[in-house]
Amino acid sequence: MSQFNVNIQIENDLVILITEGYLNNEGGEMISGICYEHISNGNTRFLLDMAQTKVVNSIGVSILIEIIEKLQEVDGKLGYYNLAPIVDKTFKIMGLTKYSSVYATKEEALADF
Amino acid sequence: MNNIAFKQLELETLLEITNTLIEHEDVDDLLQDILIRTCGILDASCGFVLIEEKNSDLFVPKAVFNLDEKVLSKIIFNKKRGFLNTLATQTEKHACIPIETNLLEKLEKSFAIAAPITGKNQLLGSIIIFDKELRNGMSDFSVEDAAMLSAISVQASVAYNNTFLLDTLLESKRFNDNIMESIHTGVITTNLFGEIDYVNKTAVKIAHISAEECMGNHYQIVFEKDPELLILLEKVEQEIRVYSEQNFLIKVGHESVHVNLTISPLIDDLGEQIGTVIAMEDISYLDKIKSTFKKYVSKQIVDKILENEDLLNLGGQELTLTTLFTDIRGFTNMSERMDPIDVVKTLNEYFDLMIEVVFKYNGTLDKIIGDALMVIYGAPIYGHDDTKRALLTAIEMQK
Repeated sequence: MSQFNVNIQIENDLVILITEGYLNNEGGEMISGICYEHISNGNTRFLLDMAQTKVVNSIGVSILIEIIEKLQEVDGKLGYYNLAPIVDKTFKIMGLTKYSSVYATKEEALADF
Repeated sequence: MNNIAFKQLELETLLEITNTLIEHEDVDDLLQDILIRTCGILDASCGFVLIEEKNSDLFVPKAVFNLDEKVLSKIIFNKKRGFLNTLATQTEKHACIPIETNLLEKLEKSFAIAAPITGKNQLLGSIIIFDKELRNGMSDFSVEDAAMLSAISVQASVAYNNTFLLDTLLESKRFNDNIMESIHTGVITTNLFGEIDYVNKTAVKIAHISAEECMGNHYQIVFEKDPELLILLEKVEQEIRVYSEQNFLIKVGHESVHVNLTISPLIDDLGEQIGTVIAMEDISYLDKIKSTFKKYVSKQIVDKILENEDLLNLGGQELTLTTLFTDIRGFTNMSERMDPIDVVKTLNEYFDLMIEVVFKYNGTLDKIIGDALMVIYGAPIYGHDDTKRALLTAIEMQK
């Protein structure tokens, strides 16, 4: 059975979440839990490395939007890199990319963050 | 969430499925891709794809997403029962249906929907997805979800049939290739332009050539060392008929080899020539047999035996034979007075002459004992004039 996992790296107050698995309700809740905890500790910049997440559903997307809304309250930002083409397209169509950024590589993301 | 955006996503996904699925060459990869995309677009928590086992009513999971495969493997999916039977017999071929409650219980799920994968009006498989996710729980799939899944199943059926067909073609090609690589006849084919497009392993071995160096090159280049072969190939091309040559000396690689050669026009199922087939059978081993045998029997007897191995009865048989013993009168005294080297030289010259006579009359040299010869007539091949030939041998030897 596929499980959703998240590994966390912190680089200069930037929180990088390396996701693995299906970004659905369960996966989204896991990401949001981590993000809210770090927001309460003062972190405001978050990047998602989604190389190992090949599929998202609308629930997962809606949870990401909730995270973005929370970050807007603290003047924070959310970005993603290593997106599978289908995930990239889903984010664009669902309007996620209007409020958060997509990068091709980690280096690109770090340069902008 | 914006409904229009959702609709756009659904349509884009369906288009993506159509475009991407035709790229898959591997059936298992294709099914996994179908399943993941379907779960994603329909917010399903998990799912699996069943495909029928050949010559059976049973279906087995070939793609699984977010489900315990151990639990799944213990369930029997029979086309004659349950949702599979309904999918197989329903009149609306791509309609989606719910699955039975006991199956939901086994998998510990609440809701499910199944769509067929079809081909040639038969049920070949099914996509089954479970538990549509909502923000605060799970729900059943809607009518719109069923319509989307139905549309996906139509595309999936086409893609599956194409990939399966490709698999079958590749398997058939592999089988033919295995046959060609296993036979003892060397086969080389050319296309309509005269370019070599196939060389089997046996041809590489017989003609001492490299397949990589031959492929794609014109036969005029590959066989440039063998003008006779080139002439035959040109004849076949022009006359569109078969040419055969027995004991042909082929000079292609760095060695010359005796082969039985057949060159035929390669004809397609419309009767059009599409190239040439060169078939060669290595007969150089026969030369080895002949050269071994010809020390004891004449060439004519060797050829007869090779034409008809039944003439050789290795188990032994009772025969009436004629035996000729020869001797050099006074050889012992003579050899005592001669230098040993001269004795050997003289004997060799003597035997060369005598054996020539023996073979002239198709005798079989049984043994040489000192200066004596023992020759038999009537084996390995019986002749009605064995005794006469023995006498003629003796007479000529004395001349």
